[in-house]
Amino acid sequence: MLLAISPPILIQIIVWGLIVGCIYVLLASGLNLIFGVMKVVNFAHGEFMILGGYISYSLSIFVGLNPYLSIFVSMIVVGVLGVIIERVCFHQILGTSKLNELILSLGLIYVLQNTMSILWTDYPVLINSPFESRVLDWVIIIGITMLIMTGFYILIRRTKIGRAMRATSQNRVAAMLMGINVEHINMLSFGLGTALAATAGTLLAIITSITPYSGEIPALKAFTIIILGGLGSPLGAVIGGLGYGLIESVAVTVLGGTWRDAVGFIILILVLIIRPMGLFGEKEI
Amino acid sequence: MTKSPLLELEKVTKSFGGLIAVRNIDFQIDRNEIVGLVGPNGAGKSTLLKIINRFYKQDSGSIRFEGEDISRLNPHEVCKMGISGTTQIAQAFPDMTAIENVAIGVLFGKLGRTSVNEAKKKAAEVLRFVEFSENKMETLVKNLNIAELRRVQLAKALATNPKLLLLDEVTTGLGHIEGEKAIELIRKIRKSGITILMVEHIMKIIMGICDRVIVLNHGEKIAEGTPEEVVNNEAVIRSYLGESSDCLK
Repeated sequence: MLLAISPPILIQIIVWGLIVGCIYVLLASGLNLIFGVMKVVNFAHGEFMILGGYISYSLSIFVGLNPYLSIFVSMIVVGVLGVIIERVCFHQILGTSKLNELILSLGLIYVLQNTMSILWTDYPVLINSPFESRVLDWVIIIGITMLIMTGFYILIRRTKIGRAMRATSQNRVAAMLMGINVEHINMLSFGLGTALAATAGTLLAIITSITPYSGEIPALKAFTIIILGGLGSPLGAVIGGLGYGLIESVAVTVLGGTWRDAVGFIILILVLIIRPMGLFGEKEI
Repeated sequence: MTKSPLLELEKVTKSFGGLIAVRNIDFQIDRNEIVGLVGPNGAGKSTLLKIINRFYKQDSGSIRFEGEDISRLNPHEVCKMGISGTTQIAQAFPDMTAIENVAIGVLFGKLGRTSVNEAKKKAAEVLRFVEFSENKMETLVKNLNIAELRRVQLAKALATNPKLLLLDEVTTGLGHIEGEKAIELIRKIRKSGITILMVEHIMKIIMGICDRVIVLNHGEKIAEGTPEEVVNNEAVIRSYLGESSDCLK
């Protein structure tokens, strides 16, 4: 079927796939960091993303800040909110039943959605790009994603705090034995993870309109991506995110828009049957 | 000036649900001693080590390290004060190399404030000290065998620059020769000025290496003294080793 598509359309599918993929990469990497370090399943991750989009929207409307620059402000605001929510909510129930984490994060979805609905109403909003050309927007989106992911990579691989995050995600007991304050690391990871989500939210609101409820499906997709890529594997989140964007883009063109959300989950089910540890995950011994 | 002991435990009690794991434990450890903690399975030895390095919070009693009360501190805080240790199941960061694993201890332990490069240099020194093979320093820890892993674990603890090292069955899983080497290593660690509190189930090791032995049974301290005193202690023989003490000799 794909062969019947003309080259310009094929390029369009690929480009669109990459753009959406960039958003998934940012969203999934943040989720992966939180899950990797804290082993917490945060279903409200999508709402942090949308909140980031709304903050950038307000900054561009009321302050007149360039939306691409507002990303960095919304990252900080949402990151700080993430730290507070980790302290007040997740920290209190860490190590208790998984069901508590699940219900807490599901509850957070509604608290955040309703708060956003009160602050920004339910009408869809779109961040107007300062540029005339859509192509320029796409290039900037890819560029910003690369910039932020490179920064994230350097932070995780090269810095002292990144080493503490990796150590905590690999073995909490050993990390504590060696003088790492794992509670601080939890807090920082949650803040950084939600900040990455906020970036994804701003980029999303630039390419398509958002409502307070637009985060639910992307969060589920981010879970699919990190399961596909292998839980806790940073490379898996990047390749999984881009791959998911491309597959979705192809599916929408070939099968129609109704299949947009289903196709990824079908792939997830297939991958789990064939390779339960994910594409880049390792078999647990 | 009277010097306080390195570690003092006073009436330390810890229970899990209805089960009392350790009850009213008192003891002191002086600087540069090797003290053995022995007792049958479930006597509370590992629990006691975990209370000292703060993985468990005691229900009552106090713990002082160099005269300072550490009863309310967390594991990373006592690590920075100079208490470090190994656990029964070797704990490591599987997806990091041996040298990276040890460097974490340098970066976050008592030394702190070092650059990553300096930490790696220091980590290599510590790995050499524990006689870890030079050509495996860049190997991912998940690819090491148990004897190598034990050395890495020891190096990780030493890298935090401890004053007191808590060793929980470091020879478990090792063969005879590797076990002998581990004992030599423990002597070498003491020579470098570090005090050691070790849990060990092989009595021969305890007898050969410890200055003092503390015996626990059902969570209570039943004896304390030199290895010879403990071996001949009536209470130890009766309640822990059975009627005959032949197995100690």
